[in-house]
Amino acid sequence: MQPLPPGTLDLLVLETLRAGPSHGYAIATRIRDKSEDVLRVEEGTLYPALHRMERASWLSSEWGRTPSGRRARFYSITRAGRARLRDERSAWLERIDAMRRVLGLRPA
Amino acid sequence: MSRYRSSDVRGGARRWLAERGWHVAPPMARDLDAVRAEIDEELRFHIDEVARALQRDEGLPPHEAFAEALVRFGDLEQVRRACVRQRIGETVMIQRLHFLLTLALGLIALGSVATLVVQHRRADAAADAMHTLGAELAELRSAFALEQRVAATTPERRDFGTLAVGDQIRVRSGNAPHQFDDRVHVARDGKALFRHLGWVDAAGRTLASLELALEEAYEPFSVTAPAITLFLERAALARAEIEDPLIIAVGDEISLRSTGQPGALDQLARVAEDGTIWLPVIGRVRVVGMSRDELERLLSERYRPFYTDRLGLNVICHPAKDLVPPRPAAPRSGRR
Repeated sequence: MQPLPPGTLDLLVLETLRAGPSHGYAIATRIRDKSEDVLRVEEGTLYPALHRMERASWLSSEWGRTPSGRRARFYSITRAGRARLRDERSAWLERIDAMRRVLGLRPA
Repeated sequence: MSRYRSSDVRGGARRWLAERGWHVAPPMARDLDAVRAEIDEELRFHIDEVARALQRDEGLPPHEAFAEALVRFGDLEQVRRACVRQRIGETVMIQRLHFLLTLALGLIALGSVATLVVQHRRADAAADAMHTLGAELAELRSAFALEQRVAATTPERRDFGTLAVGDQIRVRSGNAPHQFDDRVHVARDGKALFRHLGWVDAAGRTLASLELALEEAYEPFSVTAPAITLFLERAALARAEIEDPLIIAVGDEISLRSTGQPGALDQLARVAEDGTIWLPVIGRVRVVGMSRDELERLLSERYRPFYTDRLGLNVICHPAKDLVPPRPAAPRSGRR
């Protein structure tokens, strides 16, 4: 497993939450699963980032119950978060295209 | 039983104000504790879930799974601090700054109001002092004129052993410095107005007997036995007849002296042709033909609704016949 590329944590978290509200553990698990065990989110950066994004109004949170009945904080993406996600995706795609051009790879 | 607790109301008001950007108080320690507790619960949930996954996927016993989850999590305290900082750190700083600024502005506003009040009171005190000074000047002028008039119209005074109309007496209090110090004049009716005491018979008495009378009268006003010394500062050059009671006439000057609230009503007024004087608050009052005592009673009644019960009024009457007529204006000198 590899650590996340710099500057991609917000993008991955927002994209994960686009599917629906999740707690921190589920966000980290989904990123790992969807990347097929390539990307690993460090807990030391995930939780401060969640609180930072909530303060920036990209996320909102509320306490709820997991299927096992355990109390957990669930994060949801907000309207501002969706706009941010669009911007982050565009910027990331531009970067990928630029990397491909530099490395002489064909577009996917 | 009350449905709402006061702490609920206070908390609700504080939240309502905070939502609108008005932080009326710095964040309480219990707020910080609540945030820390929530973050602890959130992180504990994550570690527990990782431990459960380790038990399920790798078959570790619970305590080993939990220990492994802790190791994988990393520096828990550092993460916790970072979360707290993100959640409330800056908010706390902004709230504290907001609170300090609000407090500073409040203090500045309070200071400005206090300064205005002090200046206003000083202006009032200065105005009162001017009134008092005016009344005292009139009294001095009247006493001097009385002395001159008496000297011109009556036989020359040969007896200085007893006080006479027009005498000016200086009062000095030995045991209670300045408390009873005064300068008084013997009026046409033979009485003199003493501080705290009012009108006291003076004409015909010796200084020594008047001293004893004053010491006895001032005893209730002093902790120790008062030692009063009287000086005859200016003696009338002739001994005039005592006019008792002194009846107020057109042209007389009336001085008001207020006691209890010094300076509150110190005024000087001349009796007009229609026999009245104009006074602040109560307006025009008919005074001609009244004795001084009658006028004091009348004015005290009229002014009572506007002042406290401690207000005392004394009237000093300067008869028109004793007043110095105004000097004719001196011709202007200078170059043409």
